Amino acid sequence: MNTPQLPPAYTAMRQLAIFLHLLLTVLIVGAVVVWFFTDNNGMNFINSYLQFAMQFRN
Amino acid sequence: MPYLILLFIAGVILYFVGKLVLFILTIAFGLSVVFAGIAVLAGLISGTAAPVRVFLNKKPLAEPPVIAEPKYVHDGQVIPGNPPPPCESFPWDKAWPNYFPYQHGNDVASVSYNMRKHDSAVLTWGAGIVAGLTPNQIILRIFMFVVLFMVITIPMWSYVLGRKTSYLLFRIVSWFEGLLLSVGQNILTSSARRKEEKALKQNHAGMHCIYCYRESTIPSFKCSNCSFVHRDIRPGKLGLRKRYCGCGAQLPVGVVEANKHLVPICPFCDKEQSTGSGSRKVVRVPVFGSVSSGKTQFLSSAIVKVHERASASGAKLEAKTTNALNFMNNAAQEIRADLRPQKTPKRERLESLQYVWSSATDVDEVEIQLIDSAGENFTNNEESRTLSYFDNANALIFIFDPLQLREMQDKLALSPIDKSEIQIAQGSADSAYGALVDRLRNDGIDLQRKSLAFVVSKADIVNQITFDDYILTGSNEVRDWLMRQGADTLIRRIEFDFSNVHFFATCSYRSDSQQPGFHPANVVNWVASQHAADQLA
Repeated sequence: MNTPQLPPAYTAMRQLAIFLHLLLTVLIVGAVVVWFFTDNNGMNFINSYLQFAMQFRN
Repeated sequence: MPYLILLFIAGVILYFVGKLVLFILTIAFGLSVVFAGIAVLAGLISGTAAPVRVFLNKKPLAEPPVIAEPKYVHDGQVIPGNPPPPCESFPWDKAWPNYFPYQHGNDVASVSYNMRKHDSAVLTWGAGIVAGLTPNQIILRIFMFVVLFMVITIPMWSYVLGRKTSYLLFRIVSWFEGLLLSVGQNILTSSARRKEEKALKQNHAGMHCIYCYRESTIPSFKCSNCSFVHRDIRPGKLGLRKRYCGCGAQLPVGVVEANKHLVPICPFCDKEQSTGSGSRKVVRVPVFGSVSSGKTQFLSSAIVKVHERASASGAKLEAKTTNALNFMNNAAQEIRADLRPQKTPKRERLESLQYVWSSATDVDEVEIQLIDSAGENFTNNEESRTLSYFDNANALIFIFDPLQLREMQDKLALSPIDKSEIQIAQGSADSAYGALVDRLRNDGIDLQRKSLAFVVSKADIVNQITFDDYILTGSNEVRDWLMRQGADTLIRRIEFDFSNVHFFATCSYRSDSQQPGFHPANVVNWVASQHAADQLA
């Protein structure tokens, strides 16, 4: 079955939706990364986990 | 004692095995957290790619999006409900709908379905791996299950969680985008429609079918490529600034724009109208009167004069149909050759003769429709019922033959002028008037809202045969003349029926020798003024 030729507006709207979706995802992931590297948040998180794990070794 | 030693050894082994188990579980938990983090990220990326795959129709898709094709729109499967009034009796036109919300809804449904299908497959695959690696021994089975649960199942769920998060973001983005576009579309649609309606109303524009005489403010238009008839070309759900027909042709949107490029069609009789019908002011010139009262002569003479005056002033009068052109050319020839026009044949419906008058600057356009009809149609109420153009005409033109008056007949008999060419109307003028006007009133039409031009034809002959009471040109003078000649009963009746009556006297024979005040073009100008149009001649 042949796919009908879609109006140009359809492609434009879909591209806009993809762009906005990507933008929002990047913003959220970026916010997490920024949080991770701000004020040693990331290192504190890893240290907490390591301390938690080490108590079982002893 | 040996039992105590064995118990001690077993206790030591159990301690170290327990510690080993805890160590392995700790490592597994650590790996689980790391894997889960990576899986969430992978899920986010995969979830972001999912709509792209659907929108670009990347194979293989479990369910590609349903396309809101024009044929489904026409079948009523895409847009719920009927088209907006006055086109609600027609199906939706075969054209591509706006992306929002129609195709967008299909796209979102497809993204949702494909993601659920993929997530389910991933979880099933992970459960299969866990089941395959789990041994049969009960203690080892529990231990391995816990380890594999942390190392495989939790990351799988995290992957799905990442995809679900991405899908949620996609829905949020789509919702906002849809909200903004829906609001924007509604504002644009209503403002464009209001603007066009206002412009058409200000210009008193509308389409008056030249075949079935019905009026429509929203003509249908034929696609220039596939000839499909679009019933509602206004901006709306099938396009705001342009429309894509089912055949792929790009069509203008709005009655005014469509009129410039497409062939308008009467929505009632489906017959083609001339380009531009529906976006210009229409002045209808419908005449009635008894047989041989001079209706056709009146129209012939009027259109020739309007054409002459338009040419002289730099304006333009263009016949829009072959019949209209032939009528105008024949009328000009007959006037030049001093001949009378042929009697109008009695037919149920005669095509209106359509002309367009354009000002010298081409800014103003007025459509003139001359509507002739045989006098036999005004012999009784039923005969006049087919002439529905009178029902919605702003102004009616009643042609009265003064030679029907007894006094005039006596004067004509005594006059030395050549009577062989003179035709006298047959039948009573009162009957012809009553046949139409009584029918209109019986059909519930408010005559007080219409205007009537009472036209005394053959004024040139009257002024040739009379020596004491000439007919003059002003409305009051013509009325007084008629009263003096014994037409007072008819005049009183007319003035009772219509609130706005104007009397004219015309000599519709030999255009170039007429006095300006007696010319039928004056009646056309008056009718034009009743339609708020400029002077045409």
